[in-house]
Amino acid sequence: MRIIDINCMIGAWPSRQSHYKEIDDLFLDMDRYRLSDCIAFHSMALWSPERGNLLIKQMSENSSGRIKPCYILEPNLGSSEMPCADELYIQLKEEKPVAVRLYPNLKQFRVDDFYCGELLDVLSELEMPVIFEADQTPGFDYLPVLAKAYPRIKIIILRHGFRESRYIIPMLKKINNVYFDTSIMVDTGIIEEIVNEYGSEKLLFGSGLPSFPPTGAISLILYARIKNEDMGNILFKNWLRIEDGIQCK
Amino acid sequence: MQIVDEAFNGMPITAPVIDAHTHILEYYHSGWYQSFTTNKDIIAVMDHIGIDCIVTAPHSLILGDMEYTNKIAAEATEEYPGRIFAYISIIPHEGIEAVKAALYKYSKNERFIGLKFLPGYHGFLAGIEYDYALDFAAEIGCPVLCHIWENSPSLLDVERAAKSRPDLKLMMAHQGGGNADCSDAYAKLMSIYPNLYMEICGSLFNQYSMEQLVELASEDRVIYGSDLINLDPRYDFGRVVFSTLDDRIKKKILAENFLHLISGSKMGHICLKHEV
Repeated sequence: MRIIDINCMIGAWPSRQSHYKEIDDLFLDMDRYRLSDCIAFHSMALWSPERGNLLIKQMSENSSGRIKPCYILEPNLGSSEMPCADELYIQLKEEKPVAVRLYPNLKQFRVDDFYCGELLDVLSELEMPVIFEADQTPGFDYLPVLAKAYPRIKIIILRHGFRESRYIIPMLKKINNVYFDTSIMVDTGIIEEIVNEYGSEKLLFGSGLPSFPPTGAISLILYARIKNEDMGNILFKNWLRIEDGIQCK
Repeated sequence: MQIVDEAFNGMPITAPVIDAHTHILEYYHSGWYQSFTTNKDIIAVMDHIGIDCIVTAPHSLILGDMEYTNKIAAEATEEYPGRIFAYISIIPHEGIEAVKAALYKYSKNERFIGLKFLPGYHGFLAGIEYDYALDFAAEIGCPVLCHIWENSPSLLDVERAAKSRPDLKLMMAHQGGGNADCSDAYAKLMSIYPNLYMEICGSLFNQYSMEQLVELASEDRVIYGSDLINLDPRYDFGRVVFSTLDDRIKKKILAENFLHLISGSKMGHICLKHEV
């Protein structure tokens, strides 16, 4: 079955952890673990979004469609580090990233109307998915507020689920535009419970490559006692539906 | 068919699989959550992925009731003979006499095959009750599965346990503490003491792949455990079966290394339906 991995990174890293210097390094692991496509960002974009986003765009163009670019953006539009809203809108429409990552904790801002309303408005108009890494996620108390304020933005939360089922279940039940990757949903049987009780439509497959091997995450889905249709939703169809909804075409 | 192909097809693994780290009974403290908790449901998921048998210390171990915990374990082994085996749970704060009584009573039950310690939750490893149980295990030849998370218990205490008991077979859980730095530190200790083993469950935050853990700890001393039903058994199972290790090594991790550990024990043994 096709597997689209929504959580990959290319580029150097300042500690000893695994990283992919070249696109071929990522391809090697994708082949090894039978991942067909991935959504990836470039680590350089954490330090310099302009430079890093350009790198992932170029790599994506040379990947025969296997790597789709995810950009990292800063909140203050029209500042020294970001173009104004109109320019950003045009840039994203032309360059066609398939998702944007925000790092509010790392980069010291709040994801709300006051601190990054202009950016969120642009992303909302484009229906651009917004991805938060585990340690960058707006708290579970604030997430429903953000999701309701920007219903056209699909908010994707990575690497949550360990001892958090009492947050995740209500979020999936009550909020339409919050998605979770299943990489560490290790509470026993929780993926089956979610799929059977609340549906598979808001679960996505992500690994965390190259920081984390995808083997455990693959197992949680391929060995889940769920229908093939639900498995397909999680492994690739849900992502394709999200991507189809982006207003960049 | 290779193990990885069985896995990518979602088939039960046909090679023998022993899950050496499990906890039956529900446990909802501190955010833990299980969608199923009965032994019948546990057997069903074991059948689904191909786990032949588990070795368990019921979750009541954590709260601390040694007799109740060991009694529940004994009942589970009777309910599913050959599929559920047990560790004698040791709870040091009940005192040395209670520990002696538990060891005496349950070591005679052939479905109990080793001891389970939970230091950290239950205080220091270097205490007289654990010492007594470690001496017992070294003499009987049964393995001890010992919890460790980050540096609790300390590796100094682990070293103390292993150094003075060369016949002891001590499996430290959670890849030596749950992250790459801990695995590095524990592997260094393993390189000094051949009676130390690495059990792999709870690896979701460890950036080392199974291939890297095997490189660190050696293919003969890595043992599959899942923490079922505290954690979903499919996660750490997948870390082995979907890895790029060859089948010879996967089989060691999944069952052979553990069978080797209990081979000389005077306590119970595991009989698998497979030929290993």
